[in-house]
Amino acid sequence: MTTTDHLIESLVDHLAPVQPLAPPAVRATRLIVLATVLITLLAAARGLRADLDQRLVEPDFVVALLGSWLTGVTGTLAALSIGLPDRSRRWFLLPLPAFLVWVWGVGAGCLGHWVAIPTGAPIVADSVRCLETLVMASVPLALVLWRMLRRSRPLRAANTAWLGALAVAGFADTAHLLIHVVDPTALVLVMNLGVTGLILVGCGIVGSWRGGRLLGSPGR
Amino acid sequence: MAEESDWSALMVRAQGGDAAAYRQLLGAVTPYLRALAHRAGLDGPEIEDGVQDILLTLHMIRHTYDPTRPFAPWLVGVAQHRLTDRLRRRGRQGAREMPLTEEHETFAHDETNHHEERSDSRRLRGAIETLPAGQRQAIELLRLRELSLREASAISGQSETALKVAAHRAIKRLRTLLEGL
Repeated sequence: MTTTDHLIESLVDHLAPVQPLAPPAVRATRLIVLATVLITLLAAARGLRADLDQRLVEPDFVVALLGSWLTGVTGTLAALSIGLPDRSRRWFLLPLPAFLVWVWGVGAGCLGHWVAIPTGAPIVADSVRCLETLVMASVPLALVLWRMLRRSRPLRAANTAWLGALAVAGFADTAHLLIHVVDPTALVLVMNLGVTGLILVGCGIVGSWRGGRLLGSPGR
Repeated sequence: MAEESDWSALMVRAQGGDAAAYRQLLGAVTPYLRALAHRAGLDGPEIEDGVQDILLTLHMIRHTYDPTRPFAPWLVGVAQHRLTDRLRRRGRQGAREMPLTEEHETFAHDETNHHEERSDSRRLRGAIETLPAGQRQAIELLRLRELSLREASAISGQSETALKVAAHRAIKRLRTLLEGL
C-alpha cells in the first residue's frame, strides 16, 4: 500500500511546470466577445428580421433580447467560476435574474403578439432556417466553451455543465431574436438544456464519474 | 498569516516546476489536511486515504490556483470536495453493506479465522515483489490503492494505455505464480 510520504515523493517526481489558468472573468470575456462576433456574423449572413425596427421599440422585445444576452454573459462567467475550488456554489445563482428577465420578456411578448405573425408568413420555411441558425450559433459556442471548461477541470462538473448549456442557449436565442420572426426560445432551451440533461442522465446511468470525465474533472 | 503566504509562495514556485518547493508545500499541508479529514468525520486509515485523495486532486488541478489569490481557501475547497465525496461513498456503502461480527465467523478466536488469510496475503505480497517495476507500480496504484487510470497515470508518468497493459500482464503473471492458492 502506498503511504502518504510515498505518494508525496511520487507526485514530486512527476512534477511538471504548469501555466496557471487566467481568472474566470478574463476567460469569460474571450467567450463573450466570440459569441457577440458570431451573432453579428450570423445576422449579417442571414439578414436581420424584417420587423426589427418595430420590435426594437417594444419593451418586451428589448427585455427579452437583453435578458438572453445577459444570460449568456452571466452563465459563461458562472460556468467558468463554479468549478474552481475556492469559488462558492452560489455562483450557480448568478444567471438566474437575467434568465428570469429573458423568460419574462419572451412570455410577455408572446401574450402581446398572440397569433400576430403576418398572414401568409412562411412559417415552415422560417422554422427550418430557425433550426439552422440555432445549430450554427449553438454548436461552435458549445465546443469552444467545452474546451475552456475542460482545461479548468471543474470540481462541480454537473453544475458547470448546466451553466454552460444555459449560457450557450442565451447567446443562441439572442441570434434568433435578431434574425427570425418565429420565437424559438422554448426550442433553444429544450435543445441546449435537454441535450445537457440527457448527457448527465446517461453519465449517471453509466457511472457518475464519467460525467466529470467529459469535463476533465479529477476522478473519484 | 505568515504560513498562508508561505504556502502561496511555495505553490507559485511549484507551478513553475520547482520540485523542492512542491515537496515542502505538500509536507507542510499534510498535517492540516489530516486535521480537516478528522474534523469531517473520517477516522483510522480512512483519514490517510482521504488525505491522499486530496493530494492527488491538488496535483491534478494545480494549474487552477490563481497566484493572485490566497492559497488556503483554494486548498480547503479541494479538501472539502474530496472529503464530501468520500463521506458520500461511505454512506452509500454503509447503506448496503454490513460489518462481519463474531457470529459470522466459524470460530470466535482470531487465529482460527485469519491464519490462512495471513498466509495468502504473504504469498501475494511476495509474488507482487517479484513483478517487474512497471507492473508492480501498476498493481499498487490501480488494484491496491484503487486509483482511477487518470490518477495513476498522473502519479506514475505512464500513459493510461501503458498502465492498463502493465496491470493486465501483472494479473496474468500473478495468476501463474499463485496457481493452486
